[in-house]
Amino acid sequence: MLKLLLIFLQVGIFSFGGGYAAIPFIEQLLIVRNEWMAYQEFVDIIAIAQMSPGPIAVNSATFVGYNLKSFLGALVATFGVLLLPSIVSITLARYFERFKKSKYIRGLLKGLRPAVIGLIATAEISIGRTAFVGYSILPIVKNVAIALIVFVFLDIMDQHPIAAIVLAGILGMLFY
Amino acid sequence: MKTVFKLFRIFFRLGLFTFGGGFAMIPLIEEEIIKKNSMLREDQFFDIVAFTQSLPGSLAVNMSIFIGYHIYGVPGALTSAIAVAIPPFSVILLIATFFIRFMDIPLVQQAFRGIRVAVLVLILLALKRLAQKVSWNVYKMILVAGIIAAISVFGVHPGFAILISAALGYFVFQPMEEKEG
Repeated sequence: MLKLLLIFLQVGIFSFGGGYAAIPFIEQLLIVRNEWMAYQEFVDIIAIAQMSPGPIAVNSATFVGYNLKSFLGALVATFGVLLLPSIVSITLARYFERFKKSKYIRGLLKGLRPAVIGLIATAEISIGRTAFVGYSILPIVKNVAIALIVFVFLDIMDQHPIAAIVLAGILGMLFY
Repeated sequence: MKTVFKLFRIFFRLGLFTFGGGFAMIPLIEEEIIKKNSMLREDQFFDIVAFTQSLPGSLAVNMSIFIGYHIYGVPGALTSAIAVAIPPFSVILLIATFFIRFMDIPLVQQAFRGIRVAVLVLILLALKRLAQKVSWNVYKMILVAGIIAAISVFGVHPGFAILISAALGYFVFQPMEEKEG
């Protein structure tokens, strides 16, 4: 339980930029380093976190915590993921007027944005491997088809992510 | 005290009706806090949105803390943060309780084979949006490639990558771009 708390404290404090930034940390700390979860389970949790109300980081912490250690685990993981960022926010809210246009903050961000991109890309590669590598040709073709349809639906038709997940679910039922 | 209860009610509702995290909350905050209750001005809100994006943690929770603090100090901040987190926490608990049984249904398993692919596309598009916010140069591209290699090949802790990158931004990228104007 302590380990769960420590992991989600790290997920909280390092996830700059909201929701998806937490994904590489949960992936690295829970799956790669501790093998507490399978990739497939994690991807399902991301999908549900995206479809449920509330922040993705909080939702996935609650869900992962519950799967590992039931109600108390959910409470500990959610508390852990919120604690340090909340302390930072409350402290900074006090000095907000002074910090607002600080060039130091902008300086930090210049490095952090590419870092977050690198981290999320790393997680995407690992997760993608589980969806496309190690299958025979037919399921890979089906998955590529689903990916293309969802991509067009989201990026070109500009539809809502929840609608895209529902669409992908229907495609999954039709194709498999 | 009345303000605290009001904040709790408003942010509880925001937590319940915000699907998809922080950005989805922005129009709801405009409606509830700025238009209906005039607890905050539009320009103050935009400053908060811009600033909280650079903080660690959930954007929705951090925005709630800043708005709550603005309206009623530390008690306001704590109330808003807790109120906005309770609905998602409860909904996820409810889903998680039934999830394992639900996953035994063959049709659900088939649906999730499709949904997993959709998650990959969603993350890819999040990457694309993030990449559009960066003013790219060759060093930043090397940084991205370096992080991917450091983590996937050498097993470096991702938090270490964050610390190094923050330092690079502060000591290298910022002075460099200032010089270029």
